[in-house]
Amino acid sequence: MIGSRIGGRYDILRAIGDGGMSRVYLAHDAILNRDVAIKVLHYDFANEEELKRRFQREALSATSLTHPHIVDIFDVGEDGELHYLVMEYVEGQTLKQFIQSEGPLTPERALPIMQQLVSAISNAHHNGIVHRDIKPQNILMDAEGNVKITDFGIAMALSATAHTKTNSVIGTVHYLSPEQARGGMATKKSDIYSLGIVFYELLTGELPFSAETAVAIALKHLQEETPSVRAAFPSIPQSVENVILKATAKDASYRYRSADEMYDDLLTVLSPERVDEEKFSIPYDEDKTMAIPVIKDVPKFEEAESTKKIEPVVIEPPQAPKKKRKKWPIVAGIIGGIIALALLAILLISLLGPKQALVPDVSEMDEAEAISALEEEGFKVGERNEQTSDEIEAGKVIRTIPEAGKKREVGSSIMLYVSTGKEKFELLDYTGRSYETVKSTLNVYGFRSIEPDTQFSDEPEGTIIGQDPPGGTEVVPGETDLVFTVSKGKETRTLGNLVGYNENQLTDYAESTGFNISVVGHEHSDTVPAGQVISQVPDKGTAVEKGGRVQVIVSKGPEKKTVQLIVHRVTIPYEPDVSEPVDEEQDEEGNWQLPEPVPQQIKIYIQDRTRNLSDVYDEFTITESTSRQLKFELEEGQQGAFKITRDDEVIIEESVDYSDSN
Amino acid sequence: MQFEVLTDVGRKRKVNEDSAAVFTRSEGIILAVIADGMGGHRAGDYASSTAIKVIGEQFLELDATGFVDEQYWVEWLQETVNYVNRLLFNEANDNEELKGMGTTLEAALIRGSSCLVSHTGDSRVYAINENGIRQITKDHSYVNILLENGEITEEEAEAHPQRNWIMKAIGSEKTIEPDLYSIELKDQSYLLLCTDGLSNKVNQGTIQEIVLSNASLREKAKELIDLANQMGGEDNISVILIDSTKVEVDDL
Repeated sequence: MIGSRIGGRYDILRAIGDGGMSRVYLAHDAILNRDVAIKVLHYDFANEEELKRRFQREALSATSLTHPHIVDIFDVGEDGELHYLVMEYVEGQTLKQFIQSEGPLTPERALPIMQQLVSAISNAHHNGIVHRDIKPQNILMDAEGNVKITDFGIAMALSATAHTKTNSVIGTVHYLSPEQARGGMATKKSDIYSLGIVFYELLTGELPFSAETAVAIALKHLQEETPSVRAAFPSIPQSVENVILKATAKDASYRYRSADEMYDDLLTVLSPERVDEEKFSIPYDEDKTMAIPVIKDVPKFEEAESTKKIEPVVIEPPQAPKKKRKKWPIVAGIIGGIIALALLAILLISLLGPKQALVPDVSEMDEAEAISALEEEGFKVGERNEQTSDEIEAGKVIRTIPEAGKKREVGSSIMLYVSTGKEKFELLDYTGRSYETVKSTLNVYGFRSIEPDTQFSDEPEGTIIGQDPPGGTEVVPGETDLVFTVSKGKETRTLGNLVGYNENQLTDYAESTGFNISVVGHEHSDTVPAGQVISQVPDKGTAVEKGGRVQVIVSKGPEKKTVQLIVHRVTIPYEPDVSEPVDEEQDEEGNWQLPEPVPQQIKIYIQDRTRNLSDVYDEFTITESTSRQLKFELEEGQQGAFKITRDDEVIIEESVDYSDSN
Repeated sequence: MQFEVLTDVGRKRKVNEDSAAVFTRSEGIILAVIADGMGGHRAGDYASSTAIKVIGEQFLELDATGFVDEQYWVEWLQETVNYVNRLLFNEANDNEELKGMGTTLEAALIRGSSCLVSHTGDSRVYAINENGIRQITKDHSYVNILLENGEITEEEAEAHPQRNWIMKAIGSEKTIEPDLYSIELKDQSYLLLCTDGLSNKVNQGTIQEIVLSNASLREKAKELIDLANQMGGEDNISVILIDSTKVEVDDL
């Protein structure tokens, strides 16, 4: 492994940690040129498709977490048979190692660590992610004493569907909440419980519940009160101990409602006003008797019963060597005790014959019915506990302890477990988060349906902008249809062709479409009349968000070009028809006079800005060569012309250029 | 006395980590052993097969001439299981590849109608006759202990995420205290040793029905395994079915 490259980019440098089902390596990411930690799973996913998918889903959902006290997950990958997570490399030690070398800590030193941890978990909870396996082994501490939590949801994701037989590992149960020990679903409150246990360990350097086997520890989590940290360290303020007691309440409903609430409490826990705080105790509630000391008083008989049922004749080891008491104290004790007590019980029963009766099956009865059924058999009704149940409706009995069918002395008390209905799930307010992430997180809880209802909004596409039922609602997932209003981004419309629109039409169009239309310029146009749109950006046919900006250019009408007045002098020659005989005449004085000149008809045609050659510009007669000024109005670049006819014969035809003016 | 031994890899696994065997001594004493190994790679396979092989050798090589009553057999069985445990534990410690290995072990020593059972882990021994089916052994599993403590119900146990955790295994700790049961094999009865590949998949009523059917012993064992496979076959499945009906008949 060391020296190899995985995923085409991670060069494995050395092993830095070892867990039950994984090994962590320091590696160098050749692409981003940085050190990373790579967790390689020792898992044979080959036969466990579902497990693999579950692992990948959990790991991917954890990649969405970004928090200064959460180890970043960069990548989830597989390389052949190898499955791995690429994570931020935190140089330092685990919190477990820190506690081993530095613990126990004073409250002043422990509090900053707890605040960092609780803020990280709070962030994860707000993102709908439950860690499920908080323990100091999963918390890294850098040289500055900053802590970062790792392995969100992953360990448990792997254990949950494994069919592989495993030796129970003690390390995994020390921080386990009672509900997890029972095999129930881990909730945010399970994380709060584990945080409470971590706080205990920081302050005492020890674990609150220890035993030789995993199940013995699990039983203590279920049955024993969290020990007092003040018993060993009286200098610890009551207010600090209360944080642990509240976080580790057996019944999750008495714990902090949220990591936020726990965080707030930690902020003030050492403040002078809280010096005289009372010890935390579970509020007395008639309807809700605590379920903690389950069968503590009768475990031996309980065991004796179940042993007898099986009826093995248990043979004492012949030499009865010194019992390895330290191994498995509870069970060894129980088994040892069982044999003795079973015999004793049988003896007592046969000698003294206290009356016994079978515990009736009162499950699914109403509570009152159940009580009378039990009393009919001569039993007393002992503690009453409430539990959620998927099968048994609220108010009906789930089970009893001892269980139905067990033989018990008449007059002994029977504990009732009454259903509070199906397990409720408190919805968070998911607005502002990615629908896909939230959905994949919530899928685990078995909601009847989770559907998106997409709407246009200013939020980026895929963001949750609303939910039904709202955050804070307690629901039964299997009976709940969750509907998230999900943004499909800003509303877009196809932009029409605005060319030719006048100001009023633009205003109407802007109102009806919601586009923000602005006139960004005016230009001349020979084709578009003044006041109408010449061009637009974006082009027609483009999808534009509601409120999106559309720029148009409006016509000023045709451009007025520079007009030159060009004066052209022309001489029109008078040329009489000489073939015509001239009648010479004498005048009255008898002088020979030249005959009167014959007038000639002249027509001038001009082509310029306003006139053209088909229109007569001037018409007159001449009797001698005549000079005329012709005035042309020419636009820039325009060519003018003129034509002069004399007696309908074209005598001059010329063009005049704009540039001729000079 | 007739018996049938069958072990099957199941439908999902590549390796059969179960081992099972029945050893017979000339004086008619038999030892039926079944083991479900655990541990990475092939360590589980190694653990169960080694346990079976070693206990079988010890049994066949034993000089039992001085064994005048059951007490001697009780001591022998305890010592032998402890010996196998130490052997596997030392190997696991000495060998990186075998680290963490272990195995369940059910050993049933049958002498005529008396039967001693040494039990470690969550494999099971059942006694079956016309009157019913009786589970002799109690699973050394995490959930079974919670169940016995009244902390969880049968249904919760079946769905518990840690239902694969066992509390005792041969070879995983330095010393072991197996449970020991002594039972009387009544006439017309069967003894069934099986791994959890069967007991997790086929309920007791069905097991009883199949075992008491008119089929041959081999067909019955086969049917049990087929049924477990039909139910998913996620785990290895092993069955030793012993028919004690013939005991008296043959001896008389």
